[in-house]
Amino acid sequence: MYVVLVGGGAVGEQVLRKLLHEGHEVLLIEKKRERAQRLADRYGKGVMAGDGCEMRVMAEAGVNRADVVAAITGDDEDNLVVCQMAKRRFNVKRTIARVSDPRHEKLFKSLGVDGTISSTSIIFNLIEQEIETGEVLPIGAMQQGNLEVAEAVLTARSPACGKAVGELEFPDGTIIVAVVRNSQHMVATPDIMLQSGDIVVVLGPSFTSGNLLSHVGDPLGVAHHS
Amino acid sequence: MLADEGHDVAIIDESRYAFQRLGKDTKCKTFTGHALDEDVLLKAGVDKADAFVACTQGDNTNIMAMQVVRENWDVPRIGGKINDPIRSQEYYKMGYFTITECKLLAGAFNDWIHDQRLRAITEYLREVPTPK
Repeated sequence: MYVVLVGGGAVGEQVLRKLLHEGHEVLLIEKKRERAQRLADRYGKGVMAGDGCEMRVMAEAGVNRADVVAAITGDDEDNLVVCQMAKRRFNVKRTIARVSDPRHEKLFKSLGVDGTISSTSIIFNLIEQEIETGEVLPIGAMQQGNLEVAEAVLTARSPACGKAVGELEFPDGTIIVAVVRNSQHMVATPDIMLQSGDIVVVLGPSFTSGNLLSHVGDPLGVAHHS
Repeated sequence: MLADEGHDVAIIDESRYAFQRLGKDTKCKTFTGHALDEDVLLKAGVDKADAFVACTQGDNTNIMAMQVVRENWDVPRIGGKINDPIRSQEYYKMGYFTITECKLLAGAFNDWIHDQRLRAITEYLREVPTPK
């Protein structure tokens, strides 16, 4: 299985590490030279410096024989173009784009991208599973979508009710910032017992660790093919 | 140019300051926001537009903006600036009118150097060698 990754930020590095660990052939393309060099020092030949949106770079990376191309830069427009060009120019069967703005998920799919990963959606799904609330509302994104804030309103059915804040299991790096009760906000100390009607404010990075990947399964779908 | 001819023109830019170049007496309507933001596009009246042109500094932003417009609204003419010749050709094939600055300049200078008459810009634009 040959996987080409475009974008060597925090997300790209984690995915690279996980795929290498699973024994796949991987090449990560990173635009910034210094960053590419640093990654190459750590991961060797699996890293290439260049603009993954350029055909010359894609050709050099052997995209034509790639089973999967995953575009995971922080810019949605770059990710879209990488996937479309990989499909049109190199007949890549499966393309996956990271989507920072969740509103772009539907658009990308109708434009021929096979799979999209929205960190925002993943985080909200995870939080919803853990807290099972009426709704989880995105409040804001920071750091080009690498960090998100969301609030969840607990209902009587939420398993989190009756649990202490410290007992909730979230992916690494995801933290409960505050609990709002009767319009009063409290710093979320581990001993606060959650109850119905509480609003829980959560801050989380999109993919700080492979841990998050293991929570949602392998977003590249590669585990099933190897 | 279009505004001077009496057409309704709306311009979107991320920076308000960019509009200063239009001058005080401009007839253009200006909208501050991102070209990929559907709300901003709608505010600018894209749903009623006869033509949409994406000419930001970013090739990929233009490519995506053109597709956002085509997917969401019925705009008869959609074009954009794509400086990378290969991407330009690919999206031209998909029905977008794409213009590549460097092809125009290279073609025009080349003709000038050879003492040849300048040609129509479409001749310069579509003379793209097929890459492997």
